Amino acid sequence: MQTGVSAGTDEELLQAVRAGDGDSFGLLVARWEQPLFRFVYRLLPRQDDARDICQETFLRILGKAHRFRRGARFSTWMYQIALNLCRDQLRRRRRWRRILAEGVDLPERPAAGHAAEVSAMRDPSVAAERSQLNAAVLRALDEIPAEQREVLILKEFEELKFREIAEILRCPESTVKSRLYYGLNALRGALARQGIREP
Amino acid sequence: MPCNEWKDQWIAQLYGELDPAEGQLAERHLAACSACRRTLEELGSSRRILRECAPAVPAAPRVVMLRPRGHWRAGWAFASGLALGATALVAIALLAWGPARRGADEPPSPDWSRVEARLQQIELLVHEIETRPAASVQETGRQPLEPQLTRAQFNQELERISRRFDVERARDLETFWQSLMAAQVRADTRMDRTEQALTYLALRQDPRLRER
Repeated sequence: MQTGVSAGTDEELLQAVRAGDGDSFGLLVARWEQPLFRFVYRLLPRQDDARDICQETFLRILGKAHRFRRGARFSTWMYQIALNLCRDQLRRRRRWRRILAEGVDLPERPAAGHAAEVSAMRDPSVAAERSQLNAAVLRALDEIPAEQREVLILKEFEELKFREIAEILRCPESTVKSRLYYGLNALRGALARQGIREP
Repeated sequence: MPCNEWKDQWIAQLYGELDPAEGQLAERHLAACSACRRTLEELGSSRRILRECAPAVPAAPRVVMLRPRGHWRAGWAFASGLALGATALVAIALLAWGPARRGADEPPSPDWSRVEARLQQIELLVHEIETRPAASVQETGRQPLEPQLTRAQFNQELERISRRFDVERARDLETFWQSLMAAQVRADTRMDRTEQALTYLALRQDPRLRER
């Protein structure tokens, strides 16, 4: 079937979605499913949770496309929705930890894909060390305040500008920089407590 | 400016977002202040560890939006679309992440490009059904999609799949089916049967499901 939809900017595609064009929505999904999953996975990080939140994010975008303001940036809106869903999920997890009286609930082990990459290394001790470092970084990220972790992930892995992060978080750029500063310091402290230091 | 007021500049410098004028001021301060030089170095060190030692992110599952018919607004259609979409995503995730669980005697890896191409076709078909539900064969050049799936057939397929994949994936498929059933209680029967058929077809096209 010829869809007749040409690739445009995110905002143009969303305007088409508002007009009832489903193919434009498919293009938006295809464009953003990978980056969104990456972002959500780094925040949570569980594959099943990340998968569900990505799906829910796109469904909310679809359901609320009529509310998208002209002149706004689509990616900002998408990240905001995903971030709120992640925060909700983390709150639910914390409630369950209290209810079940469990200790710290570590994120799942690094993904199967990464394990395959690690196992491909010739030296098993290198692979094991790498795996330990991965787990240490995950633990350290889990220890630092959520608002600092969010900024770290948006800046370090999504590579967004300070201005963009400020728009997503609805706070001044100076607040973003301040959270990043304290977040990097907190991360360093958390890693040091696990014996991880850069030589 | 006291050292504790430079943190914004150090962060901006670390990420290459310091403007030239601020950069010159910062360089002058760094040349004279060992404490700030150490601070900047420590920030850089944390960044390096984070970038180099953070675990890789697994490949993202393909998001197949099995959209409800008609309108885009929230309501019963959205609720059923949510259930269908989430469970379809489970199904697609199963297709995408199967190889990690394989043993030596399992079927060879499928041609994922063919599975992807089929999923694209199915998604376009869903869109077509949504927008032109009464279109004739002459207009569309396609045979209308007939619901193929019955519960008995799905159970058979589920049993066959569970023999080939591990228990967890078979359980995922059962969860997927139950979610479809739950959505059917609230949704339009005709739409739901078609969506089930389409999802079944997506599974069916996986070469691993073909009889040997």
